[in-house]
Amino acid sequence: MSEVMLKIENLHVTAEGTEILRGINLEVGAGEVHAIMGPNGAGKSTLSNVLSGRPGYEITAGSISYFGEDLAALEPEERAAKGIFLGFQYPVEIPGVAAMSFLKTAINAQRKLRGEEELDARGVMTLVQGEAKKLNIGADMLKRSINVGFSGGEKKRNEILQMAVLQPKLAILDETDSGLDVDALKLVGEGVTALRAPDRAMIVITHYQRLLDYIVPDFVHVLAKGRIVRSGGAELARELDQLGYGDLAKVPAA
Amino acid sequence: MADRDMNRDVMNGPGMAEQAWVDALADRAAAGGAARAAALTAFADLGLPDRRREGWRWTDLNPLRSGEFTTVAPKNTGKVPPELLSDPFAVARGHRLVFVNGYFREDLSDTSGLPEGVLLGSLAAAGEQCDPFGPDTGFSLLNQAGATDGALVRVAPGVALSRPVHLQFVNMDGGCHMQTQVKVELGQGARATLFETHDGVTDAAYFASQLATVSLADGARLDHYRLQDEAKSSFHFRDLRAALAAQAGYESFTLSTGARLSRNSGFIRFDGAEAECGYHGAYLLGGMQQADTVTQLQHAAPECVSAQNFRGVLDDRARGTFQGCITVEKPAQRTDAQQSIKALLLSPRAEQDAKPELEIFADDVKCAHGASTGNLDPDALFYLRARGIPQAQARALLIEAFVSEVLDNLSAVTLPQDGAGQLRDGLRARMEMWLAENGTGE
Amino acid sequence: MAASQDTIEKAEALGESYKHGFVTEIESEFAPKGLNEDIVRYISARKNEPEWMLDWRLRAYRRWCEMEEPQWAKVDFPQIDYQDAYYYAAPKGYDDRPKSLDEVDPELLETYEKLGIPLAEQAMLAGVAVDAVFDSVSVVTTFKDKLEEVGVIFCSISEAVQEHPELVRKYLGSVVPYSDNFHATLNSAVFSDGTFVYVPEGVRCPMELSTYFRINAQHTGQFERTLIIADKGSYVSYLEGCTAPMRDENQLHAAVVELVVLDDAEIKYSTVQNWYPGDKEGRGGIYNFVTKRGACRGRNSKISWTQVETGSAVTWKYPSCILQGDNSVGEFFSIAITNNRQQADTGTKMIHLGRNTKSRIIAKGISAGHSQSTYRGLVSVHPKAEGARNHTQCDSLLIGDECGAHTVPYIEVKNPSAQIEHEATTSKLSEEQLFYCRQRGLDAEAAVALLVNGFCKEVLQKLPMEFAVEAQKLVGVSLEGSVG
Repeated sequence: MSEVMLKIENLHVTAEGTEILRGINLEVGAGEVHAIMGPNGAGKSTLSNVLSGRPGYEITAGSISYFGEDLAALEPEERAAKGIFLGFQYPVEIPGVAAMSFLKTAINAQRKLRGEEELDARGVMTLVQGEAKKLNIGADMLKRSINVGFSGGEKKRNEILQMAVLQPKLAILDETDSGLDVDALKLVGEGVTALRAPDRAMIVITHYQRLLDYIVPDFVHVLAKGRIVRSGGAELARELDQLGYGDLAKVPAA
Repeated sequence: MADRDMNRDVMNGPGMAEQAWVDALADRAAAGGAARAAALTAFADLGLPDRRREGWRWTDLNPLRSGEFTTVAPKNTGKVPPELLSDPFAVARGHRLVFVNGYFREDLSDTSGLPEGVLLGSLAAAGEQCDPFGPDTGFSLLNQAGATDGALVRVAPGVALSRPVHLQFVNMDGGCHMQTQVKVELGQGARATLFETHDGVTDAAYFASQLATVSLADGARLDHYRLQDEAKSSFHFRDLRAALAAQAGYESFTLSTGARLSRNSGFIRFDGAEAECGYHGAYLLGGMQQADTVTQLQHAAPECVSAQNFRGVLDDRARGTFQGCITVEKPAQRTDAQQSIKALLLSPRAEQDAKPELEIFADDVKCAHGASTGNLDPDALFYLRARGIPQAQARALLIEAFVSEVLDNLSAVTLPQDGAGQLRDGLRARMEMWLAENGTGE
Repeated sequence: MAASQDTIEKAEALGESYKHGFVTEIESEFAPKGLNEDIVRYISARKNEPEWMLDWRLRAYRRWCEMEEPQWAKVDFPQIDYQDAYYYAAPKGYDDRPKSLDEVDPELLETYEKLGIPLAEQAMLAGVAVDAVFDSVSVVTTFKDKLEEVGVIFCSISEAVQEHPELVRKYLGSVVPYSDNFHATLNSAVFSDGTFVYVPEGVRCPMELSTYFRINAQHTGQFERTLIIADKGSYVSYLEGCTAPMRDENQLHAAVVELVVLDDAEIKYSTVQNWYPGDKEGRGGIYNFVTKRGACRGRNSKISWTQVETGSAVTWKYPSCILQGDNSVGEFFSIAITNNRQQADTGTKMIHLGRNTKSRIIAKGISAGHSQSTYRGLVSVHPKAEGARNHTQCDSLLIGDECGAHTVPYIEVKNPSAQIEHEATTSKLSEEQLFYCRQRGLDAEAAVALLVNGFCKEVLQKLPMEFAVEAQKLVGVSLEGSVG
């Protein structure tokens, strides 16, 4: 196994008094792609929210270590600057803030937090336009308010664009396939695959196997009732696609 | 605004108008117990409002200051013209209370077959009065001092009135005033439908004032529909105070076509969480008529929903005014409050004034209001005419569609299945009557 | 410190004579506390005003004595004692002012830093001595030459009374009469100075005019009076204020601005108001009671008010348009931000008198901390205003649960062909949006600034370019400490 990037141990999380994650254990190494699958309500989105630091979740037991550092102690923006990227299931609309200027603000906020030199407008523009082209995102879309009036496919492509531009170390993609038609799915899937790199890990959260036709995972984990109930290789996803979650969800964790 | 101070009004000498009212009501107030006497004293102190008082800047009250209406209407026990006793809502088999000149007429009323736990009848007979919450106005105090009678609707917890209650107020004489009250109390989970009609003899010039209190306990539901078609030279002032407990529901719609000057004022307070209120109305006016609509929806509890939709149609020199305030107090988080007022001006001399106001002290709320004024869309009118519909009919069609935006959204959940449809038909029939007489254009 | 060194050199370069002259003048300009007819006469005499000007001031003063202070605005502050104030060149402002930037409140300097204000300007804004103002003398001269070439008159109102009495007599008080309202009437009696602009027929003013670059407008104190006239077919853009908070000792500001626009002419008037708002507990701060009104007298005339109001403890201000000329246009674009204990009651009046007159209102209110923000407006369509149009949009944003946002629009329509639309919404800063921004690496304050700037975008776009960038920064700075 390559260098361990993320190590989750016995993670218990509650939201509004209800325990949602009940003892997650997971190790993610550099360059690896992990798929997390599971039925609705299994705790998939909670896991992505806790990793990125969304307010409203309480870690009651266990730990998350990221490059040996306790992740729970960091603010969301500090995690972002350290390379954690969350691709939102429902990207938020922000009226009045153009997609391009949002990216510029985000890039430079992260660079500043890391103590790096900020990029000027031209630098950002060159960077963004190059990546945008690959994802079939036109200049027009970058001028519009971020996600406002974007179609489902546009929102998700915009998320992948941000990922490409921000160059994270750990990308968590939360149900990136939801709301996409076949063409958009292909575009997004290929976009993500192109971003695979030896020093970058990904956690792909999905309900269905179809996204994994485009992003072939190294590991597949099944999450049910707040625990990982089974782990395997890419073939596990296809097995699930044929058999469904029915039996697995019933199996208590070891 | 800055120039408001310049809108000063000529008064008939300080306190003179008020003194005439005090003199006229002194005997009645003295005979009616401490509450009435106290109301009259408070009235003498507060006085009638004038244009300098916020909320009255668009209303000329000089006719009510003239002393013309200070006489109490005579008791009328005679025959009432049948057209004044018709039931525009076509809700036969309903319970009915009739008041003529402000006095209960048992002979014309029908309270038979009431379910157990329902009290329906004359307030005076029950020895009761409205006890309104909220700020006093000169008119609310006058009413408390001098009301002759009114309707009492009290429904015990858990009881549902399956048949609607029709409250009918008929005014037969001019040169006097009629003051009535409506007191509605629904216990926990109780349900009722209330229809209210206000009519008067053609050409009679009178002042009709009504104070209404509605108290809905947890989960109670009241549907309340009103037709105000008072005589064209009369004055009609109505002052509602409604308090909603948790999960209570209240739907109200008033169609105003009558009176020279009418004022429909509603103060609705959300005391319990998750209560819902739809408070709506429409006014169709011609001639020199003026209708004031005043609403104050006070959200004091969390997660309540309120919707207000008003439509005004103004012909000739008619004037519509709307002053609506939504207040969201600090505890009222997750309030969803919406308000819309739209007016159609059909004539060059018609006027619409509006003041849709928001007062928000809680941060997690969804509040919106909209107001618009305009005339009939010439494109739509032309489209209809191009399809062969004559001008007058096309106008009528568009006006009806304009008001129907509100009518069609009445839910009328306390009525039986086909009841909501009947209600809309009844209101629409009234609208068509008005359109036949007005609003069909030059 | 570099700034003071810089300043000393500049002052020396300007020579002794100017310095002395200035000091002497200060010492001689002094009126006792309080207000009465003698003070009004004193002010007029000090300015060597003609008889008609004094008469006008006296009429205003007598009228003011009969007036009551308005109470209807949704603002709450202790009763002002009008006899306990200086009405002419209050000397405390000069004696108390800091000698160098070292003496200025470090928090204020930190704010300048964030706004990227150059040191020399920082000194001027903070009121450090008079010399900082000298820095702009050369700028002013350049300006004046260029304007004189095209015939634009741009001077102090006192100067205009002397040099252009016919214009001042014709237009002063023609939009805001001396009897208009309590604060405007007080201003009419005692106004100290202000700006006068006249743009002659057919002239497009070659540059943005701004009080910022006119030295004598810097210390005109509590009762500024501005009069701008755009003659037929002319255009002028006027900028008032600056983006950095002005250190100011005066608690009460009662300014009057009058605009007159003739046929086919246009005035664009932009304000960034960032007076001292008081501290976090609401101590101190300016009471800003301003009457601003423009008359679109001519056909096809246009007035556009854009304001960014972030300062003052109490703001009471309704820049308005009287749309007299047929086809005239009035616009009001406003951002009002209140934080801590600030209170703002602001909006506009659009009075439609002429045919086919149009008005547009976009008001964005942002309340944070314990503040209260009110939009109050009037759209009035008179019977002859055939074809009048108005569209009003008022959006309020609440940050935190201790503040309030209120909307009080009055709509009066007396013409059936008028189309009037009003929309208002109130919402809170969304947790979802905040988290989205933070996930992408923005800290909480940067996220708030970004989201609020997005909320205000439509109005920020209306500002002249060089102002817009600073105003954007100001939005962020004004809301510091409002989350987290």
